Amino acid sequence: MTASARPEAIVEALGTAWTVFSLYPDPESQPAFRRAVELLQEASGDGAHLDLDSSGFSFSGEPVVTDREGAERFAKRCYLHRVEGLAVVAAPSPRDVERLFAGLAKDDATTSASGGIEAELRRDGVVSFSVAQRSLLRVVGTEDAPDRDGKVQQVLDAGVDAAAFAEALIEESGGEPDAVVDLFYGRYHETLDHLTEGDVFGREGVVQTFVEAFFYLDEPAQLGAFRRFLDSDEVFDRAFLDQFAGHELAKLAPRLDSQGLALLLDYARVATDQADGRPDELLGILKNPEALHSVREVAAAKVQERLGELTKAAEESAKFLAIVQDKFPDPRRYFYDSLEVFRGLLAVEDREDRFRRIMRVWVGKVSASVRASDFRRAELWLRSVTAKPTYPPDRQSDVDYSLAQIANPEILNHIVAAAAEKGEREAEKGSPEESALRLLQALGPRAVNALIDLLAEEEGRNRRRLLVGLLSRIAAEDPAAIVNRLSDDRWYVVRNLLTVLRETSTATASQAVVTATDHPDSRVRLEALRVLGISDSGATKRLTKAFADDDEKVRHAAIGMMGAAGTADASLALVAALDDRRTRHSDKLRIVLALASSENSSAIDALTSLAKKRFVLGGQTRSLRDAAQTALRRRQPS
Amino acid sequence: MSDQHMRDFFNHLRSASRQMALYPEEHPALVEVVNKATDAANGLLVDASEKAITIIGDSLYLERTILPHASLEFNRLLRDMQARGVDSITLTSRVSRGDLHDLAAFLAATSGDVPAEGTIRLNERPYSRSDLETDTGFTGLRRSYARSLDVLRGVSLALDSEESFDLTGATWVVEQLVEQTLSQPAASVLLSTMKSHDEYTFYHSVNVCILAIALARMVGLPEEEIKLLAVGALLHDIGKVRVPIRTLQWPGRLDTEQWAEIKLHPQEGAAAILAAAAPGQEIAAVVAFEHHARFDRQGYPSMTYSRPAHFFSRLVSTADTYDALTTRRSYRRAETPNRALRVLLQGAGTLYDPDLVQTFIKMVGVYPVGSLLELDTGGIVMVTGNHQDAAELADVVLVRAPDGILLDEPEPTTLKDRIIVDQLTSDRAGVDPASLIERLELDG
Repeated sequence: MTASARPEAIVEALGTAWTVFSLYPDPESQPAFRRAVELLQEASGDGAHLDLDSSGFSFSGEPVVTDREGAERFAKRCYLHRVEGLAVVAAPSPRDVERLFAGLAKDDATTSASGGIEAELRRDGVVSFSVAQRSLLRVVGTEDAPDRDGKVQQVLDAGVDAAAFAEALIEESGGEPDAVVDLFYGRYHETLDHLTEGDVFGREGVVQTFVEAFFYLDEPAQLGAFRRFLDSDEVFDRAFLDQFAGHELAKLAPRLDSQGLALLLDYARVATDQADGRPDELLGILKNPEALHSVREVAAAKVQERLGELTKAAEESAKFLAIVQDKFPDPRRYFYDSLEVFRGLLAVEDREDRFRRIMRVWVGKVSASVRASDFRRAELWLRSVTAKPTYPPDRQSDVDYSLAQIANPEILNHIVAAAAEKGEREAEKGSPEESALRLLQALGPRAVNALIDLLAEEEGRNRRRLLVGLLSRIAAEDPAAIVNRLSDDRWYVVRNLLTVLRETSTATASQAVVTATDHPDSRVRLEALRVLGISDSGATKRLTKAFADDDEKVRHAAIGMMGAAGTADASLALVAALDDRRTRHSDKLRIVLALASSENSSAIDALTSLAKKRFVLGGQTRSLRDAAQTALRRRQPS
Repeated sequence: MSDQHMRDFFNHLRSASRQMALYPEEHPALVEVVNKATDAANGLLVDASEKAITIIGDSLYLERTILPHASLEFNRLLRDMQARGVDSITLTSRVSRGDLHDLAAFLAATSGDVPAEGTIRLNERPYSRSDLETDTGFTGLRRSYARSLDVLRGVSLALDSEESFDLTGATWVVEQLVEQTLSQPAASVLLSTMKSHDEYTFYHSVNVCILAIALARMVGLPEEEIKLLAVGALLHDIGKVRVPIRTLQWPGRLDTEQWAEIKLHPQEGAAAILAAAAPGQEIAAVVAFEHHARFDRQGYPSMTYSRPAHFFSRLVSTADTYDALTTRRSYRRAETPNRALRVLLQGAGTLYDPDLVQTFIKMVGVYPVGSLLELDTGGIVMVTGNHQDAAELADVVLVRAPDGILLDEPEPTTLKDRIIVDQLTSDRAGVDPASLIERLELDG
């Protein structure tokens, strides 16, 4: 193929010419049209043959890609006419192109009725184009195609009296069943072979005529002919069979030999899977071999029996209706039924783009429910995906992405606002506030992160307290999301998170919290000490270190916690600090109090020793002794 | 016959009106369709020198005769006419091509000129409302039917272009359909025989909706529940918008790939409805998802949950099968109502809820109203009213004489002492039952 006659160029030329034709009454007067025709004339030497399907033109199996809108419109127009192939077989004149387009500009029914586009072109003397159209068995309309072959027309005329047609065939064959079969089957194909390409009405009429005539054949001929059609995979033999209703097939089934029956069963299986399950009844019957000999009688009896049941007395009708009414669904379940279907959708949808679309629907549902403050519904929507997932594991990233979409600040603000309405009281089970909390919990770490961000931005003290409370509840089961954010640059964020952790009372000894005890901001260090408490093995060392903290509050907190620990180690550490000259006086007074609160004997011994000191120099030492004495007195039972 | 001629005329007038906006006057496509419309107009005048087409409300009349199906089929064109202030069109022999062109351009709003040559005259109003007073109860139903089609078209367009939609429109039309169907169950079930090859899915969906409403009423479902069910029924096939059109209209047997495309429509529909549903409307998605689930939980898509298909889904599945079977498709003939009922019976307990199948048969009768029966005499009768207890007590009219002549005026007759040889589809009998019954009702 020459460079200028590339398939793309041909399609574009056709598209351009089509556009001009559509716009101007005299397209040939337009230079663009003439140029396009010239290109088509060049291409004709290569015998360019284009195929067409719903996605557009293709050449040798490869799609012809062009960005010209005119080409796309032309392809669509051709497709509307069921064109499946278009070839430029000789150099077309401008008139040829116009004739081709004139055919395409008509509606499909009109061109079909006149035998198709190819037939129209031939009648107009156009031989430069060859157009192949897909044939339809049936289309809308009733017009007959002109110029039909005489044999075809004869059959169609005979179709008005199928009995006479069948009789004529029997007579012509001599009446011997095999001969009738040969003639019937042969004439069917012979007639179809004489049809003009695209004469869909004719084709439909021929098939119908033969099907109707079939029922007027004698039984042996019917069975013989039927076997012929069953034996074949040819499209018009299948079309013949497709005209039979299930019960008609069922009637023939028991009279077929075993091979024929097997073929019929195969046919029924294929047909049942398609076309509204039409021969399904046949399959059902064939499953029961005993019924094969009296299929029709069984079916008739069954129908009569069932119909008879319907005409029984009124009270029986009422009883029957009561049975049906027992099956009425509970309207309160509708939403849950819908959620099941949604989960079903997730399970069956194996197309990536459609799965993502369903996820978008889901995000929309959860978000809309939240915006409508229907937190219960939002929670149920949310859990329809996250609880016991039905989606395949390889869709997890799509689900995660969608969860992140849901957990955006706007949505979380709605939830927080709802939760805030509960005020100081505990949310009752089933209340919107409780649902809001459960919704946040269901959102998991994504909600935690977003709530932390909200917390960081929040200036109102009450609302901050609320957020901390919410976070504490959400993080109670899984504090990891909180711990992971302890490296935040903002001291107040870190402190708030530590407060959250303190309230959850879980995972307090994580390394991130320990690290926070060295935080540059004393408020963070203080909170970190509180979170860590005294339960772990490193507590004494950590608190002892805090005795030397620059911040008094931190030191005092450490002393208090050490005293509360009440262990021998803790007491020894306190005593050591008491004896240490570097320890500030105010801290030593705290240490005295801490020792006094301890039940440890070494703590009491140290206090007693201090209280009994007789010679003390300086006011500070004296006040320390007095404090020890006071503390010991308080310890004695009154 | 007039109804058919009118449909031809309106078909071509509609095409001409559409193409007016697309093509220049001399364009061959436009020229051709205007010619066809002119021919069709003159075809209407073979037995009279003048004929008037009148529009009152949502109904079209040719002279004094209502054209029920044309009124529905061309509802949008009818509204275009009303929007342009046209309430009657008088065609006089012979209609000129120029006037037809003017009319089409006027209706397309590409021109403000009314037909110039006087062969088509607008708004002469030869018949007044009192001349044509005709409200049979079908009028309201037909209006609801047309609006339901419009809603489905709108939803379908929105889905096709990935735009969002809500269920407000569906809920609105469904409320009207429920109201109409509950007050006139027989008429509504009859209207559900309306078929269209061009817009099969839409007409089928409205039919299923009507049948589902009627069936729900029959089993005593509360009205509020019926409304919820009806939205699901109306939208049960909406997922087909996502199925390639060429697969939906494939004339032969589907291959594996095409069948796989078809099988996706329940989940596509459910996802679309869920996206659109406001709180409380989600149950419609259940119906869309499960309407191909069988009573024995087989079918498609596979049900990953343990409960059986929802009651609403089972109910819609019954109506869906019945309407699908009684509709002629590109790949098979239509079944007669009686045969469709047999198919339901055969599948009762495996494919369909047996109790609902029984109720459905009870509802439509052994020979539903509108059934066309061939008698042993060779004549064809149409059932105009049925009796639950005995088929032979059904009200019937003779529509085709034993000698094959189609009667202009159907004659009341009886099935007593007659043998029913066969039941025929409307295509085969050459009779449009819904139109005929409405006319009979009009004639009192």
